[in-house]
Amino acid sequence: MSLKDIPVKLDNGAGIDDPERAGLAIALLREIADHLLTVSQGGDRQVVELTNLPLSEGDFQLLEEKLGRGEVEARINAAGPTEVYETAFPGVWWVKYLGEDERVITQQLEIGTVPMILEAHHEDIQASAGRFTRLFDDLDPNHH
Amino acid sequence: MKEHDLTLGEELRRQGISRRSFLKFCAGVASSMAIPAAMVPAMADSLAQARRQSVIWMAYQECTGCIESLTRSFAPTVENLIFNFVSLDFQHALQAAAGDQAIEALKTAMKENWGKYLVLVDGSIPLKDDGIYSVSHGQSHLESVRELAEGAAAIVSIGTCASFGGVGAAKPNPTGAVGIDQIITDKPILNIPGCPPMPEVMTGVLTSFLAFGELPVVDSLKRPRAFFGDTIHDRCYRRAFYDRGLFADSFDDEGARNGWCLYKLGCKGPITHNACATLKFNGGVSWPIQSGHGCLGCSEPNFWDKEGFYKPLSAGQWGTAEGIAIAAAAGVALGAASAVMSRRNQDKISGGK
Repeated sequence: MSLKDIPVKLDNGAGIDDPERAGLAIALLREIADHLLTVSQGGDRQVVELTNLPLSEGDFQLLEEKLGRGEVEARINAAGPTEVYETAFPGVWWVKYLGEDERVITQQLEIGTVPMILEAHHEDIQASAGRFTRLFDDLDPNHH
Repeated sequence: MKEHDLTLGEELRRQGISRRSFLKFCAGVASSMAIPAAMVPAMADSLAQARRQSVIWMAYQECTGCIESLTRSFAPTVENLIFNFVSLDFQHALQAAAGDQAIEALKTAMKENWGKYLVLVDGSIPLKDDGIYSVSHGQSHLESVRELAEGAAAIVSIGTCASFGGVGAAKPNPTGAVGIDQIITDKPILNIPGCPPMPEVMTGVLTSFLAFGELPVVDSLKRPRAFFGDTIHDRCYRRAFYDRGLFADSFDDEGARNGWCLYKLGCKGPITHNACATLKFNGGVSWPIQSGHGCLGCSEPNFWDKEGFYKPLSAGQWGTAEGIAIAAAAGVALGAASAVMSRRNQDKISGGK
């Protein structure tokens, strides 16, 4: 008898894909509505962490369907890829932090003007300002 | 300038690692530790101000399974950032040095960071006959851990052996093995049990130690609550079947093939606190229950001696009272009706015992 003789049945985790279980998504939509109101009145950026919630496939489908797709899509390369898109509701962003293997590390809904990961940060801008002046070393006519 | 003198923020900038990468790392850690996502920028700021942490990792009466698990963490690019935050000054399985040179490195790290270094330990420590049953470089591990603890800022016990004695302490425990917190009582100690423990927990604990300057909040068994606050059962994707009274009665029967609840096959999920159900193992591929086997309860004390990995909780030594009370209490959170049903199912399974 070899290994091939042992039948293998793939179990993708029954119950995970149950489309009927979308109750949590509806609760989340209400939370997002609240956050959007806060931000629209000049409040701070709000973040809804999706990874820790026991969301079913059905929940994700409902969220994706209701939130839709908006004008902006971006892919960031920093410690592996991150995918960002604006939903059909300006100011509501879907952010997926991925590992090098494209596996989702964590995903969040960010409600604000620009997602944190998309912004250029002060520390990086400082470093880039320092680096930028070196461009002129090569352009200086007296240099050659 | 020595590497310990730079802040982590300066160190990352020196290496050309962007703030975005750093924020992404913090977002990953915050998510796994249930730290509110809105706190990520503040966490990143605080971490950027911290200095590189000296870490001394001691392997005592152990099988190397813990470090095998921890060096295979889930998202290499992100996870590897942690190695910029710590200076791993001693780890006998990973370091190039051996023998006298290795011990020299250990002594130097202790001297230079006295009172500030973090000690990570895997493996239990034998107490019997002055600890003679586990010795490295001519020194018993009992003596070694006492010496190291003296200058440590804190101790993290990695794996069930260092936390609770583990397999080394299994009956009849010929070497008198115990967990670290039974020897060292005057230092902050945190337990990360599991056989093996989850790499994400280690990353989370180290990061929060650096960002917030202290070990995270723990439960009564000194386990970080962020990861050990829920039972496996609370977060199990098969939970819905338990609530509906749908169980596998034997491996490979119809119920097992349908992915129903493994309670009757001895799953210890209802009384086992760990994060496997959400974090999973091997880069998120799977975890014991998803591969069709009940939870063994490996992150709980004495799990190896409770007889019967395949006996339902209600019938075994895991305590009818505790097991059922916890399962029922969890049921209440989801609705009183399901708790009553859960209890009825358990009574049915245990024959009303």
